[in-house]
Amino acid sequence: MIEKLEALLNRREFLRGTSLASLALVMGSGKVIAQVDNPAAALDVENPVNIGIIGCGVQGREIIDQLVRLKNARVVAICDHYSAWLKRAARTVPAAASYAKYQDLLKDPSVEAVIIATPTHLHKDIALAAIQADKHVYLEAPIANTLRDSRAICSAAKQNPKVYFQSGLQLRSEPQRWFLVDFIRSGALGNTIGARSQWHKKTSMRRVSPSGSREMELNWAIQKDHSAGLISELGIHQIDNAMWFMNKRPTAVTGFGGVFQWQDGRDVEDTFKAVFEFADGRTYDFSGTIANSFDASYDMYYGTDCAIMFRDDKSWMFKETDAPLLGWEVYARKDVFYKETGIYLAANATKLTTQDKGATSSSNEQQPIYYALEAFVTNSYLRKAAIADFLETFGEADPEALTEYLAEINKNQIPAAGPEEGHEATALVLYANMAIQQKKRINIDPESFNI
Amino acid sequence: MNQHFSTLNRLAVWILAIASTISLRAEDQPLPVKYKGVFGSSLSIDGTSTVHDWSVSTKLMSGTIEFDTNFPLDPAAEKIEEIKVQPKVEVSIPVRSIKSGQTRMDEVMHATMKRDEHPDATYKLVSLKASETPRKSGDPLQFDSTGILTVAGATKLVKFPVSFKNEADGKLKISGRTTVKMSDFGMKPPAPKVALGFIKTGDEVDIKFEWIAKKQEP
Repeated sequence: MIEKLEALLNRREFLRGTSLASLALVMGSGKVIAQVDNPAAALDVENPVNIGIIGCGVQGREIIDQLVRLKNARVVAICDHYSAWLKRAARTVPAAASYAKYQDLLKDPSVEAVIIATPTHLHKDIALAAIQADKHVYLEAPIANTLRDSRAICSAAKQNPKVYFQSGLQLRSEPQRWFLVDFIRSGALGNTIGARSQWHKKTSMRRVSPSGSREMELNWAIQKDHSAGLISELGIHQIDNAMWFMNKRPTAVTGFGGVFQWQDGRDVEDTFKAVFEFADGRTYDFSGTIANSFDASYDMYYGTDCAIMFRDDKSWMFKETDAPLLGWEVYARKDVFYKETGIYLAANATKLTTQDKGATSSSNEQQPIYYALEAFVTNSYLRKAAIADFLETFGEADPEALTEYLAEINKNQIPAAGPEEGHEATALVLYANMAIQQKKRINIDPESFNI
Repeated sequence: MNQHFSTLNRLAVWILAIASTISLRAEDQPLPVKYKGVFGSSLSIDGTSTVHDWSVSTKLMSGTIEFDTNFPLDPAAEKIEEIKVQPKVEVSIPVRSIKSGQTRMDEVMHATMKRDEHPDATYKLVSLKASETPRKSGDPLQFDSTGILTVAGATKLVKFPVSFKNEADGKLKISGRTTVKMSDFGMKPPAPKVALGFIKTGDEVDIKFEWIAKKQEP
């Protein structure tokens, strides 16, 4: 009993020393196991959302595989016009209704939310129809392959308060990134001098099919008239993350690129670079290629006190010799990269856990897509419950009051990319793609970011 | 014959008199004044725990009030008149709408309040009595209330002071505050285990509310 009390007091002292923010992080993310004095009591409620998946390709099926692991997600419907893929998806969710046309899925009254994972150039009609049908929408990034379509989708989403709209910028829901955005913005880098990202993997991205027309459909990403470029399909997450961390918008972008490896008649660059310029003269450059795999994908942020590297969900801080001591780094785990020693950065790090973690263990327990889908399910339920409870309490008479109430409730949402973030990131990659195609410097009109 | 007539006459007069009195009373009978809960209300529950104090709240309070026309609603009065006819007050709150700002805490709270079996917390007034606190003209009207509070399927008689204030647009703001124990409603104060240890919630909670109700046109 006394040990229990002492343990309690020690924890309280520890927590008093921790910032409120990290306590909130712990409280918000901690797994509730059970009542201490009544292990059998479940301190949990089910907040289910009925979801329909539109687009059962590689991404759509990956999404389904993650959704079945989320306790509140109920996949009630799936849709793909290609029956072989529809059948394949149905194997994972046999109880879900199968539809060949998205219009029919949207008419299904049991569907409360939809996840759209079709090729980018097909997003617009489906997303607009879903928003019109008052279904909550998760739309894979990029939003669309033109600025005009992206704006149309995002403004429709914003204008319908009954719809919870989330863009597929998964990193915006990742706990490790949220932990670090404040760390970086608070000036941990010292004076930020620039940033850089790469996405390298040797792969043709070409899909084959016995049917010529099906092959055309499958290879939308490497066809100029459909694709927004590989920078949009592969680079949007890292580019959005960089702008989010640095809290800046670029004023111009210069592009380079060509088809150097996969000379199969394609017209979408397989190797490309985009250099984004900021008003203060600093740059962020993105290098992408599907012709070489070295070093896979990572992000670097450079400052006068340190450089910070992101690889997957792990990050390291490489301090300059003349940078001030932070104190906690004494306990932190260190990894050596040739001549550089990186201090491992992790959310919820305590002295004990950082020393225990092996070099390959992950700070996050899940993939970014899992966190993004968890946010979508949680926030969709929040919205649907708020609407239902409001209407039950006050009736239909006051739509303005409902909008006002929802604006308050939305503050309870867990972090995720909304229509504004989705459109801004899409605008960035579309400009970059234009610069790559034209091999020149293009000025970015700040109005483009507005919905 | 004359005698018989006279009795009949008297009976007829009596019947007419009574009938007219009754019909007069029906015309005179004042209709109750009805109010209905509208958007703008708020209710908060403040509690403690071994780690930190907490607060949850909701803006959804539905309900109705029926006042007798003689019910003292005029704040200009120097003294609140005796309440001859008790008002009818019923309030309902969807438990799901009570939020802490953190997903996990909401789940723990809603589970503790047995949300799925008992989606609403309700209150029904039993009686109002004019408060003994001294007042002057223009002050909000203070009453002492007794009512039945039902939470998580359990019922308890609760007493607390309430204050009535007239607002614009025919609205009435009813404010009040009371302290209750979770255990009084069959709820075990949650002690969830989280990453850094466990948190034990305090049994006593402080409920504060401002309920906005709007006068309904007959």
